[in-house]
Amino acid sequence: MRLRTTSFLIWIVAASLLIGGCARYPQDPHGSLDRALTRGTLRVGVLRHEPWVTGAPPDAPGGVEAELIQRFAQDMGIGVSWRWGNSEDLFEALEHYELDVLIGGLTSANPWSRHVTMTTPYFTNHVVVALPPGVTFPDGSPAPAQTPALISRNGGMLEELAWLLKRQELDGVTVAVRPQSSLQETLRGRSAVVVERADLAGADGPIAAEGWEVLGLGFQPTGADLETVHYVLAVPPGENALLVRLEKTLLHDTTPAHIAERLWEESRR
Amino acid sequence: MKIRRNYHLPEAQQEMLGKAVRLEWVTIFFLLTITLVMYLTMGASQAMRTAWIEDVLSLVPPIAFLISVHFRKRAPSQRYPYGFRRLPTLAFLVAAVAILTLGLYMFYDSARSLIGQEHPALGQFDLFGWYVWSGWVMIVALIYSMIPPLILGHMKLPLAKEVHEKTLYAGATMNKDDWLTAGAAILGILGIGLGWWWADSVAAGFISIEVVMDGYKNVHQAMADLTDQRPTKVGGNEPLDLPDRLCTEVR
Repeated sequence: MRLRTTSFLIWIVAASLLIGGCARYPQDPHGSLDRALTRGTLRVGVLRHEPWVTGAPPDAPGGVEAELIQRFAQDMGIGVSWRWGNSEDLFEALEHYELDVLIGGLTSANPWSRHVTMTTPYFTNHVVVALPPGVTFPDGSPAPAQTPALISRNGGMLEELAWLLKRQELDGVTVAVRPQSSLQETLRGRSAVVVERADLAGADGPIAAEGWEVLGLGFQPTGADLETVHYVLAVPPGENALLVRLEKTLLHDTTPAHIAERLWEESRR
Repeated sequence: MKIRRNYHLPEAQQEMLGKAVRLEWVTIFFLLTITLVMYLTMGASQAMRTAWIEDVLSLVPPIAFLISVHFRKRAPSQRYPYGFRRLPTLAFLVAAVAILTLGLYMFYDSARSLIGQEHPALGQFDLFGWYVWSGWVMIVALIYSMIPPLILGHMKLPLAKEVHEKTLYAGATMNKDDWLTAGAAILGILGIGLGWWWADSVAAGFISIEVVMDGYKNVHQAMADLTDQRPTKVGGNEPLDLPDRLCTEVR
């Protein structure tokens, strides 16, 4: 029994080394990556979502994610064919291998993740309540000297815990937020008083804004973490070769800081 | 009712039982570490999830055994004049039913994902800042999950036979056969890497069939014991030759 198990283990390790060493590993069940390389074009579905994806048909999109795709295609030496559309059409096309990648400020909470494959999050953003420089809360307490990182790469449980420890109560605090922002609901849930304000930069009290916005504005983040959002791209279901190659570009060729800067620049346009 | 005296094993067997109890605690410790490691790495692989459930299940026999050993030491009382010597068999039945039920559920789950043509996604895994294909990380976790149960299973098997403990034996067999589960899951993951999306569900199905067989065998055994079948040897249905040997000795 011992001998059988040992020889089995050795066989497994040998097989792994052999497979891992040869050709491309992992491979695509549907050959998406190989086909894209042969075709010479990457078929990209585009959902408009500022500042992640900007522009309108028939022009090529701009924005952070469009740039990432351009870099990805360039690295592989192929071109890009953009296809604008609505969410349902594009996701269905992706599910049926008619597209190679889908961009549009998608998050890991997207329900289509059951039908297509999402990349590992390449950017994690915390939506927080922030104070203008030199301003304190109504009760006089200043913003904490240190908060956990506003932006990161797939922080995980430890990061959530860090934010939980710094938690700031918002009872009765007046927070300015953009009109029609989904954050209004979240803020009311935390017993804050919501005030609408189109231009957050000129606020003289607490505001609720995206992490990269807070960094760009130079405001002081507080411990009031309203939302954590993980941004991903989508590829056809189970296409692991394409997934791994795309993730390589996303994770190795960019940093959260750089993405935050680009998002801020794009949002100023 | 007359309260019976509690039964005590002879010295040698008592010592072996003590050793078995210690080994079961060690098993539980290693199984917990294995469960944690596998949970952190399992991702979207059906085969790995099934292997993980099987590892969680293999905690059941040791726990059942330890509980039954604890209660058996209790002296018989007015309420329980025969003592608690039925407890191991009951614990054994509970364990076996749990294993059988979960095995059936796991089989249903793998069949469902195979029929639904689910294509598992195995991308990059963040290993403390280094990015590596998640398949490799899973395979390493699975190899780790193979080793402690294999060693411990081999150590417990002879002990189980000596002290005639069926729960211990069932647990030890499950541990020893763990390498089959991990091996199947590894092959499933290597298969996905080769582009065979179905390799994962098939491996999961294979693992679940193994669990069902384990569960069925043990349920059958436990039921036989509870219905006062003639005593059998540990780990099989052969009748214990004790009555015959006794006759020969006495003559």
